[in-house]
Amino acid sequence: MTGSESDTPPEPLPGRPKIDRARIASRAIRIGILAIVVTVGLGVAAFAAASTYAQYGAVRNIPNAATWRGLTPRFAGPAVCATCHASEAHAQDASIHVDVACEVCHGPLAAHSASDAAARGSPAGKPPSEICATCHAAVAGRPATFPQIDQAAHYSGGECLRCHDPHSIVAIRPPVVSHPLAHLPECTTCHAPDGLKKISSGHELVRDEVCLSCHGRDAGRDRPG
Amino acid sequence: MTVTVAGREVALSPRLAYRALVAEVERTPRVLKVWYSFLLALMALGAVGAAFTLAPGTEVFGTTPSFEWGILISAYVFFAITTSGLCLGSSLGTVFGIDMFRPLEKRHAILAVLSLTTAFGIIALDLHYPVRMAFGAVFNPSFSSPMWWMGAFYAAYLVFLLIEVWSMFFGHDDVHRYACLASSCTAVLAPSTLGAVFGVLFARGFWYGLFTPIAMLVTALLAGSALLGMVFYFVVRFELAGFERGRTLAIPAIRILLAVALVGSLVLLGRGLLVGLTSEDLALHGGTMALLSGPLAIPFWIRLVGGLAIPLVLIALPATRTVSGTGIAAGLAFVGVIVDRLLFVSAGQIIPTTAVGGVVSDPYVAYTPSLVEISIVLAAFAFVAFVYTLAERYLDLREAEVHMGFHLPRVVATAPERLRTRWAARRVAPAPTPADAVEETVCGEP
Amino acid sequence: MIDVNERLDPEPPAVPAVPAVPAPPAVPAVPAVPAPPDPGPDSLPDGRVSLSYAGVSRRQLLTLGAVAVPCLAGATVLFDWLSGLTDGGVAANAEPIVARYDPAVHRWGFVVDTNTCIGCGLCGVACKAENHVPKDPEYARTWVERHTTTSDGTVHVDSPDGGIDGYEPGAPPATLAGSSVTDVRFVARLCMQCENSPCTGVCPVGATYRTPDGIILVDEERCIGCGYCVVACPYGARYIVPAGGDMPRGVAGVADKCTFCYHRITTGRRPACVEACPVGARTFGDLNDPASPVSVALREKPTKTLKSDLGTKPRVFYVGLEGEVDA
Repeated sequence: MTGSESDTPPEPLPGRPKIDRARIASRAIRIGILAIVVTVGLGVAAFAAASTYAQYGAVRNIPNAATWRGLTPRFAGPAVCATCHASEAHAQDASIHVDVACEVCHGPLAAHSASDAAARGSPAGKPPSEICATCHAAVAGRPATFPQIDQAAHYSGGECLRCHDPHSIVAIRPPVVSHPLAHLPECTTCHAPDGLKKISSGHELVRDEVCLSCHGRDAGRDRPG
Repeated sequence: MTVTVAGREVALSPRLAYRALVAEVERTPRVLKVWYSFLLALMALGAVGAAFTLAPGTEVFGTTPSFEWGILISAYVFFAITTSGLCLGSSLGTVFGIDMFRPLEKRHAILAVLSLTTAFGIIALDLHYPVRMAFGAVFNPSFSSPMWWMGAFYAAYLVFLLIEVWSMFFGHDDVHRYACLASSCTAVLAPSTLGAVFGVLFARGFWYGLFTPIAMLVTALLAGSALLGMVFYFVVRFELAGFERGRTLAIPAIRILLAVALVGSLVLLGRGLLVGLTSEDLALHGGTMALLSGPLAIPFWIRLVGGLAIPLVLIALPATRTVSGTGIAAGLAFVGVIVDRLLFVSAGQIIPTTAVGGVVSDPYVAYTPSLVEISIVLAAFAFVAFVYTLAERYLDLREAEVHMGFHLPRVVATAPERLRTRWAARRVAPAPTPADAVEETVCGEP
Repeated sequence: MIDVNERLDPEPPAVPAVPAVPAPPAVPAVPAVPAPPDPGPDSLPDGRVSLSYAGVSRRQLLTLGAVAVPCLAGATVLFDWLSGLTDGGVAANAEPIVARYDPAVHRWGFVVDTNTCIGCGLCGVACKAENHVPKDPEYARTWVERHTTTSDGTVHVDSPDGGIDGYEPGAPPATLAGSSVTDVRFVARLCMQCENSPCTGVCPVGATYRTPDGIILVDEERCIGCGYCVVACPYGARYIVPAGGDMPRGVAGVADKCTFCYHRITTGRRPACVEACPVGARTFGDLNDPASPVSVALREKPTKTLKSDLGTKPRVFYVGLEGEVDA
């Protein structure tokens, strides 16, 4: 061989293929990079999809049921409210609403009733007044013995709480706000236009001042003077 | 990186591949370019729709808790039964060696692979956690669940089909025969199990019962034969590979398959309608009435007349016993099966199990497919059409010159002859001479 | 050119053949076009290449194997390491130390009294608040229906938004049809926690299961969201959790349903819907305890289960539905 071919790789032995080291090296590097990418990709993808199978095995009913048990309740239950709100609870003890738990109207209160003082900063809040109609509107299908009203015809509709105290101790129906006559709506709200409801006492349609001349501000119920 | 093609080493590099692709696109006839563009546009729309389904739970489908299985499930059922039906029909050629069905061999396998992968793709988009399904089905199989068995059978079917296609194109005839046998067996099991997925639900009176798997199997045969009929119409019309035997053998073979499948479908449909009309089960009766005269009536009657009756008439009438007559009948039947699967999935859910789905003034559950679902289904059809067109153009779809049909292994097949020779040799063995007779008998072996 | 409209089974011609037309004068021969070069034994006439002999060399296969095996091994090691990072050190199937609850001791049951229910929908509101059920009314773990029976025996069911906002005052919709109404009642609905449940049987990955105390739960990390359990439930109790908004386990795309407030009943409380019912139409308790409210109710009142002909053996019993055949 002449010297002009000194920079070419030496001739291989007859019968053996030419070895191109540079090409093999670059190919090996490319394959190596691809292998690393595939390995990391497979590992991360498998983890993302199936890590729970490595942790728990095929069936994980027991730990899963435990997580369902560990959820946080949001309703406190009827017994808890009386520890702080004794007056309302007591007011309800003899009322027709005795079996209606506080949370029925006031919503979930477990957070509010927690012993943590900060949680108690979240007030229970008054339910909207329409909540009375949720139960007491006259809807077909309700048992006939259940007290239901036609809202439009009931004392000219309007706010239930103007006349009814939802907690009150009243044994007769409907629960009414107890007289004396302080902080009362206008007499004619309840006692008009048909006169006194359910109490037949011969009263006729009267104007406010006329009522108050006998049923003065300090007077007790039903007693003039 | 090189690959050996036809005895030549072909270097695969991105630049060369790109240049070859550009050259090929320039060589494509204009008609095909329009066809490709249309299909690629549908697939692009479907990809956009599929992107919306990536985040699990986002309400991109029109399904509701009362109507949980929508057109994606109908499309999945359709593609799954099509892939099985293709093998059911062609098995007469590949497994039983009936020469009339041999031209269907290569084309059915390609179509079956495409259809099955499309089915898997659709179900992957419908499932909210498809990767979990792959792991869950393997690590925590539920043997009481027909859906698990259906998945197992269709997965096995895909493996057998891939082996069948590979061995078919790369000349491994023995492997091919066994793969054809395995895929033909699975082609019976899988759609029956798919029918059982619906058939075990006693909550859904319309689907419940033992005839649902049977009907699914017959519908599979109809779908597969109809697809082959459409494909072979184009093969003969445009004189593609193998069109001579396609015209003389494949078309009549498809006519047989279509006739059997259409008659079977009509019989099962009639039976289903009779039972549904006389049933006291609210869901079954209500679903049947919804098909006959309710919200599903228009597509039902159009399908009955256009997808079952007219194809049967076309096949039967002497005047339409032509290639184009068969092609039209197959096309109508194919569309009919698509509509039928939509109706089947809808009728089972249209009567609600509870009032949350419907009120007394509107006793049917309402379902409107969303644009995402429609785009995915259209893209699925476009995908199969696109890849099959490429296969028809670039692959050799002539029949292989191999004796098809499953036969016994050589050891078993030649056994009678070998045993006969051996026994004959013992019988004609020379009689022992008196001198060494005693020794021979003592040794015991002639 | 093939004639696609030619009969595949042509009939023999009925008329005698027409006498042959004399052959036309010979056309001068066209100069022969040189034949195209033979592309080889594997090529089809139009240049397509048969792949019958294509293959990958043995060396390529060996290289692929030599690279793939370490890749898979490395991926497995990476997977184990990542799993080890995130398991928090807790043994996989250990019971939590916090609460000791033996599910095998209890057998939870539920009674719904349709004679008492007023259809106020507060149970549905409470359930959504307690369990973070999606606000959309089409997703409900529990809901109220109104069953109106007309004189011909048909039961008409209406349930506007699942009854969560109550019902409109006035006559039930069935009366618009004109037939006379014989009975109207409210029927509260929830998951029946069936002993022979179709939903647990059809789950393909075993993600929904029944606890020893009778409650059917969904493993939100195994559920694939296929919806098979949703269509399999005869009572329509299940739904797939939608994304955006409230989600019971913070995971979307999985199945969910009433769990009898499992987190409450296993800590001595009652389900939220039972707490919220103002008239006591819902009763809950331990069927194994003869003094529990549910056992008492079952002894004192005649009850039936819904769709009992299906054989699901529900754990929810209904009072007052004797007049309905197909409830």
